[in-house]
Amino acid sequence: MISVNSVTKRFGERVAVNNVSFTVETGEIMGFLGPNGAGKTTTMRIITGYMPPTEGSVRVNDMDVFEHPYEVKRIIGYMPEHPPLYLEMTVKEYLRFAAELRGLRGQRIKEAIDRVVELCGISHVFNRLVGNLSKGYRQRVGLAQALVHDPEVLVLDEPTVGLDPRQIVEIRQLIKDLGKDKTVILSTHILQEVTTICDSVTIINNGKVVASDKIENLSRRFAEKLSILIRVRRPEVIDIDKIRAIEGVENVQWSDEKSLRVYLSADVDIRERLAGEIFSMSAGLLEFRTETPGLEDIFIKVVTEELNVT
Amino acid sequence: MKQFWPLFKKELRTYFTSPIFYIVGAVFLALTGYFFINSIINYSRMGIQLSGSGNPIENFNPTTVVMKPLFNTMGTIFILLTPLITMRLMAEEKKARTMELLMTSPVSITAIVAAKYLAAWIIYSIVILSTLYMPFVINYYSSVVWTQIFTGYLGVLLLGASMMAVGLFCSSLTDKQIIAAVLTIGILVIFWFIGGVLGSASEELTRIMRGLSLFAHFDALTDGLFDLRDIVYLLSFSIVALFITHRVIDMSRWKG
Repeated sequence: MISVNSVTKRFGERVAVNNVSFTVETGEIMGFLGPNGAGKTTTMRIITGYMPPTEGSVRVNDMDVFEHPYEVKRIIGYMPEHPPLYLEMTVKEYLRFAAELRGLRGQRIKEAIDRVVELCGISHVFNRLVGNLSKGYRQRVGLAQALVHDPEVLVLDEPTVGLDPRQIVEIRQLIKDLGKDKTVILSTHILQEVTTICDSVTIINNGKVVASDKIENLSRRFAEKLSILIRVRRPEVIDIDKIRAIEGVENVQWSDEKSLRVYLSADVDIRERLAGEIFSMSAGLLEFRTETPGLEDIFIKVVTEELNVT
Repeated sequence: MKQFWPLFKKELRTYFTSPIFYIVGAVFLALTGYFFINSIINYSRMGIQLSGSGNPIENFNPTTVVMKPLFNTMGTIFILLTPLITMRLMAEEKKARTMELLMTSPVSITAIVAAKYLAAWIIYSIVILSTLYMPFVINYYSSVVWTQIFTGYLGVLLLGASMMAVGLFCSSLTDKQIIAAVLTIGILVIFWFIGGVLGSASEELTRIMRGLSLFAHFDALTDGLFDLRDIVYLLSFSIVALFITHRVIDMSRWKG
């Protein structure tokens, strides 16, 4: 479990992270979102003990990161945005070094390396120099390094950058599997990644948390924007006023010449009535689709709202 | 000193697998070899000249005439070679962002500093001790004063301890190796010559400057004088430099 409590980080005058709080439970994968320079990497560095916060505290499995740095670092696996690789080492030497740094000894090192090599699919580059590997493989070695000591907590900073589509699917599946019994924080720019593998999401902007919740809760919260898209063959026969008159319809707009977007005001389910109405107009219904706000809409909404406020 | 061994092993392996150690070793052996032959030839010429004069000169023996200047030469050469050994130590970790791996692992800064420092000093010592053939060659044809050879080498090794500490400190200040190298040479040159250039200044000042000079303390050891003060000075010089290095690394965490 990770709990970040009112963490603030200042670099001179600049406030990189401003009073950030959130919690990630064991067995939960949290997506950490935000525009570039929002303070994601700084927050992750504070959680992993790389740098101390100016104010606030971070607890990992009920231990304070700065009171028990060694105990906490032992159970955290961190994969920074740029994998921290020694290019002059072979993959084998590198993973051995990473395992020893985390305090593994003897036979356990070999077992740990065998396990992560298998997990991350790097067995055929095992004896090659890290410096000669492609970006995708370096990324995987970086992930293997974070997993070698089988940490209870994983902090991954954009782990799928630079991977090809097939590798992305594999790594996402791997993270999803790992997330079943570990605490995972995953920072990414790819919103689809969050929707497919994360349980909850925290959106940060200008160093402040602007939204932090389970993904379905967030969708529900932004559901007042719920709308229905209707495509018809004969738009000329549509009587917009009639549709507007239906209870629960807030607004109706043409989104293009053959498509109509109906904005709904509340949770009243008017799909049946609406469909019936269109049908009775004999407009030639081609498509009838409920549009729930995707994470992308939520992200853009909270980030731009924040911008408007500041 | 958490996780000292893996760090230490890694540093040593990096030295042995990179060309820099072999280049430094080769250049050093070539230079000292040249000066060694030169001194031997010089010594025999002086011997022939003096044998005709009938005035015996005090301390005219191969240890003082050949080895002592060689110890000085070794020190001077290493003003230039030290950065080649030390410049990458911290700068490279920052540049390659592997510092993030070290600082998020259960590793103490003391262990990082100690591992890097000791590895550099061992590399230095291997290079220095590879000149041990010199006293043995002299001893084969003539004879050497072994106690002076011992204090001489002790002096060179302790001098190296100070030089490596300065190099490591400079490397911790930047992520650019070339800047670390120039700084190292600058600091070493100052501490090498600080005692020698102040002949015209007041006597008191000269005494203080000589007390601060690396060369003055090292020079006494190569004379065969085993003075604890010199040893304590060279050791404390290293410890102070290492302590500052520790502080610099710790502080750089706050800056991110």
